[in-house]
Amino acid sequence: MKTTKTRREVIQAVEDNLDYLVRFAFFRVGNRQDAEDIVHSAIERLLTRDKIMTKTGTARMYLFRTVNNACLDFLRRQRPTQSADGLDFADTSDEDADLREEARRINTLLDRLPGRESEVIRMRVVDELQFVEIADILSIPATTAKSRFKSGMDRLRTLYNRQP
Amino acid sequence: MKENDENNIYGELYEMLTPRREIKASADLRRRIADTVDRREAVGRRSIWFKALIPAAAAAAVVVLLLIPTGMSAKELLTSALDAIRNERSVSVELDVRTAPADNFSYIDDGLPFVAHTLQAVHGDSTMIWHADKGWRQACGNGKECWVWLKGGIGWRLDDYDAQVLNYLSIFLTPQKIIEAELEAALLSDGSDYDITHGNGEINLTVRSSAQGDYANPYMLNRSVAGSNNVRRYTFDSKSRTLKRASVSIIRPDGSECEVIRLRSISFAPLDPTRLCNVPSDIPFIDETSSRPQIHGFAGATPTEVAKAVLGAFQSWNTDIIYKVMDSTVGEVLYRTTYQGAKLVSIGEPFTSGPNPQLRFVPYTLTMPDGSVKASTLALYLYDDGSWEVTGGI
Repeated sequence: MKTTKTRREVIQAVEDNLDYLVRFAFFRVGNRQDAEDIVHSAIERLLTRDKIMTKTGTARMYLFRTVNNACLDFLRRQRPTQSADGLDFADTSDEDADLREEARRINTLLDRLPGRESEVIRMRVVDELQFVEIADILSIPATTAKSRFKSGMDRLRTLYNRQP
Repeated sequence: MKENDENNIYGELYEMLTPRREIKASADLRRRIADTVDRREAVGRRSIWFKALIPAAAAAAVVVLLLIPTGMSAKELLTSALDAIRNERSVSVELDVRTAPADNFSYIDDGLPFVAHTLQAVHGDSTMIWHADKGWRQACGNGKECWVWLKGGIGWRLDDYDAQVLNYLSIFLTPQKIIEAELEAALLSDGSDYDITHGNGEINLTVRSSAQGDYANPYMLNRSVAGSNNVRRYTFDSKSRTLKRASVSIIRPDGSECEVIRLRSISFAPLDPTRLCNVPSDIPFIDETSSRPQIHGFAGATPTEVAKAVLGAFQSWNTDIIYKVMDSTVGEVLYRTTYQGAKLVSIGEPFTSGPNPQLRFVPYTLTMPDGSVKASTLALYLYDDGSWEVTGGI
């Protein structure tokens, strides 16, 4: 069932979720400036529309879907043959050096997984999204999202337990 | 596996994948978003006629409350409104507007002759595809993007919401909702009076509005419908709600009326939506959508300083200066050939005028390359960070 949302509800959703959206974009594109540009562009496009039509009825998920798509577009333009899991992060300022290192650490762990599994794990653990939200963003059933998460984590646990 | 159990199941692995550093939105991003929100809100306040597609229930409620005292049946009114909306998906409107054929669709001038306009639209369930033609300037949109172009010249690609580039004229793309749109506008804005009468099978709506904005300097007065003291008159068939007649007259400072917009014809014959928005392929389109990088500079400068710098750079066409505050494609296609070599003679006092408080106007005089003298008024847009963009007047 479609639900109509006003621009003010979108603005409130932006305020409530802005930090989460920046984190979401950062752990995909690896650079704060690029992440914030992506988030700003996505929000600007949404604010040009008076009415937001969503299937699930939440402006929050509309924002995450939009930022996710924008990140994918950004990555395709930057490195068309490389997935988010294999990112070689650009240099950032010293201020964000810790964050860059943190992103590198997490993505090194996830690099070992197929993209379908690593993306669900990244959304669940890093972005703290619920499975129904992950399913909404990736346009898959929630059961599929859970299945990919479980198979990915089981695979990681097996790999981790093999390490000396 | 139940949600939130995975932390217990995967324990240490889960902890390893959890970020140990927080990242939050920077102050710069928050400021940029606040600036975007403020600009969108300002556009909404200026463009009261953009709300043509207001929810039917709310619109009907407004009309019922205002028309019941005239004795009209609410049920009759609502039924006819719904029938009109359901049956008329396509609309073609012929208008005459006192304007310049190449100028913005919002521009009116009581000193100019009438220019023929054609407006067409096809309404879908949630979108509208439309086209507008005033001779040298055309525009079309699909609810997401719109394109505006000058014949044989240059074009602009913008975000589209309810054909906002047409300003007041967009109301004619949804003639079935003019009553609701005008009454809502009258309720929302200050200084508007409306009068509704019915008889002889017709509904007559008259709206009188004051110019919106600051007109201590009358430069922009009566150059748009929103920026004019005006009277808008509409006549509808009371059963079908079909628009039969429409006109807009500005009230000059001396109190006389001058008709500036008049409806010549209206048709609801079906239109092919696939043929309405064919954007020409031989025209360069400048990206003016909300996603494009903004071109503005000289933060902290006064409007006089900006005008002197930009106009003074015309002589050598110093692109380092000019294209700080103007899109380079616009400059190269529209202005360079005409203005390169022009010498700045004088700059006048800056002023504001009209509904947009962010605009500054700066009078200037140039000696053109051919020796002629050009006197005009530069339009500069002031961003919240104190930087500027040239938006017109060249």
